[in-house]
Amino acid sequence: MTTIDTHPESAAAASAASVGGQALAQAASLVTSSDHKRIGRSFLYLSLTFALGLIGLGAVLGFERIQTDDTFLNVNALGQLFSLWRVGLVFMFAIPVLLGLAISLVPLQIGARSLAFPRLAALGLWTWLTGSGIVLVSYIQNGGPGGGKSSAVDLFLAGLGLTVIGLLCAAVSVATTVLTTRAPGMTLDRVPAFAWSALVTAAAFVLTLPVLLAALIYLFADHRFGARTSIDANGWGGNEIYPWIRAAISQPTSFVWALPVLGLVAEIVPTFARRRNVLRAGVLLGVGIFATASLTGVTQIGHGIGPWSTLSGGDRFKDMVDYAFFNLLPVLGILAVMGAVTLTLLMGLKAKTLKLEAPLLFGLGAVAILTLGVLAHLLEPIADLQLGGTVYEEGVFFAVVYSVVIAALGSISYWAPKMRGRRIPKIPQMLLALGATGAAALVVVPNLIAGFNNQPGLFGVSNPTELVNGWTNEAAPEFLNVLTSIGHALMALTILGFLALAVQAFVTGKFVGDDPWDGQTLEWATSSPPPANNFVDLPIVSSAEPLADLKSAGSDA
Amino acid sequence: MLALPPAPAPAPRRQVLVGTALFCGAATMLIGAMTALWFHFRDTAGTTAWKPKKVIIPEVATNVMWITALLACLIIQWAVYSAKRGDHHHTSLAIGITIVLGLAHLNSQAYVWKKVALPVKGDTAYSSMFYAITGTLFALVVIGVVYAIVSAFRFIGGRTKDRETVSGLALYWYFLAAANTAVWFTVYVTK
Repeated sequence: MTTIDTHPESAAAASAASVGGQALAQAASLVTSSDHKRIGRSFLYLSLTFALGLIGLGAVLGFERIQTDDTFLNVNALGQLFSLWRVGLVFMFAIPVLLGLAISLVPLQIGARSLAFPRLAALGLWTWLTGSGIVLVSYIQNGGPGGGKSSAVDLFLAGLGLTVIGLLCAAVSVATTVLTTRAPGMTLDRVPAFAWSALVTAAAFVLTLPVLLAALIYLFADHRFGARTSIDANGWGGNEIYPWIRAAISQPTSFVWALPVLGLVAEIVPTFARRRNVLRAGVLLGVGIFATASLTGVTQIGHGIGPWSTLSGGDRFKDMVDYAFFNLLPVLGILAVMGAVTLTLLMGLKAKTLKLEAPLLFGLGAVAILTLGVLAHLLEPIADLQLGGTVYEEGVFFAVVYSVVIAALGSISYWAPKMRGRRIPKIPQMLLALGATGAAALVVVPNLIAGFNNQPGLFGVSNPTELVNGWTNEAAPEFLNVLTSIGHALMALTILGFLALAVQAFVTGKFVGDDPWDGQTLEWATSSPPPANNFVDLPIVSSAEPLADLKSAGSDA
Repeated sequence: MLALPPAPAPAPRRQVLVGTALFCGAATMLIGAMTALWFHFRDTAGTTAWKPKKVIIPEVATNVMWITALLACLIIQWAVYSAKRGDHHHTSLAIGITIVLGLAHLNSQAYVWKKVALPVKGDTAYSSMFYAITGTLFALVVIGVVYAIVSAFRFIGGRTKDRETVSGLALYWYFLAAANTAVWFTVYVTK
């Protein structure tokens, strides 16, 4: 027998090549994957990474606001950083993180074997990521709203357009999934609350994002080829972009992408209260009202109460009616959900079945901050309060964004056993949940107060110098800006801490079984992590809580 | 782990049709927003002439484009009718004609752009909006042609019972006809 020994150097080279080949194969597998769980997780982790960077940037900008004599960043760059912060939090974090959660979880919740159009969702992921990368590069090249370089401003418009197209692809995929791939017996009124909120949000994205896309196409055509719109006139000329994209990155549009926060809390509370949701119809209706009212508000921005003393009796009545219709209606929606959730919680408390777990804390924290934001928004359209253009609007915006951050962390905490088969440690998570809620309050409340003190916000100035001058305004107490900065920094640290904890748990944590929370919905009926096609047998559904039905039937027997 | 009783195989729920309908909804918002922008700019042009005087729209070509879009609706309906009857020869023929009509539409649009020869730079937003709105419709028609080619391949490849794809394709071409009508009326008739 002839033995051929491999030369050690050749072996090492072959091994290295094999490692390189494996990495390449893994990368190719990730890029071409049509598994909804992988696509959803990619959306989730990438958007949380963006969030970490952007909230860190928020902390830096917050500390910049404290310094009253001079700025440590270039004034023009400051304007662009503020716009990156704002645009990024919406298009690189809030919308994609919610779509990512929906893509990875909704098929499991509704008993589907896969996502509808998984390749469309994958196309959406990579288009969104490419667009987001282009947006970041454009800012580095002195572009974006406030940019001083014409071609970089064009690049920003193109990148944001791509980002929007990617998100639209993902939204169409999510909505089609809920509408067409539900398990037998799962009618739309039996869809889990989170899946319902994902459907409503995706439908809202389908209706609102194309409007932004139309504006971006016009701006690109005009600026790139016509230069009629002087969006790079004097370094802050990019301000011209704001009127076009402002509706997409402020209230009430922001309420639309916070809808899954309501779905999440309505999902988590019954699980930990060990009770079925007593007012399920109220939850579904509440989410629908909240979305419809917010969408209606988008089309009718400016329906506030004008200066009271200048209005005649008839005009006062008309303004009050408009105000109530376009601003109070979302509150009605959120109240319906909160009512159902509170009732379920109280029943759990009364029966002593309520179990305090980290996801519950995250969910309650998220909905509390969102409610604060929605209620605070009620004051914005009242002209006599003179809150327009101040940081009050920023306070409301961050209430919505940070409620999404907390809800995203809560979702990972709740569904981690399903995604990875392992649970994240309880006590550190509970501390992080409290920390995140506290951080959000530290950002939101001082901004609201500073708004009453007329500290100008991003949309209230025509150039960055005015913004900087606003920080030295005596009416804007430095103390409030200190609190806000600490809040942003604390939120960044919370996300970092949570991700570190999650990674550690996913690598070294113990397997916890398929149904660690004693869940009520279908995702807990399959193995953890789920197999390639989600379910070995397609389950049959006869109520909104099919797994709870089965458990009660088992205990009766 | 608790095992739920297995359910029978789910009935098809028209995934392609629903997905196409959602896409049409998004595209309607896109075209709707663009026509709204057109009217907004035209309204706010003030004393400046909205449309540059030297611009002459080749109305024969634009009218033919519009009629082509309407004709495509009829033809694609023929495809749906034939697919329902299991007549795959006529279905393939109808989809093929739809593709040709789509290409003719794109050709007409290119002709209109060449004939108008409008520089984008101008005193009003007319030229930017002209290219933005017609360019967007052009892209949507390209999507329609690609959709039709994919459907034709599926049908010719043997999926003759896959009627839902043909219905989805038809829905998209109905939408294109509506979008075309809106753009034709906005850009070429009321100008």
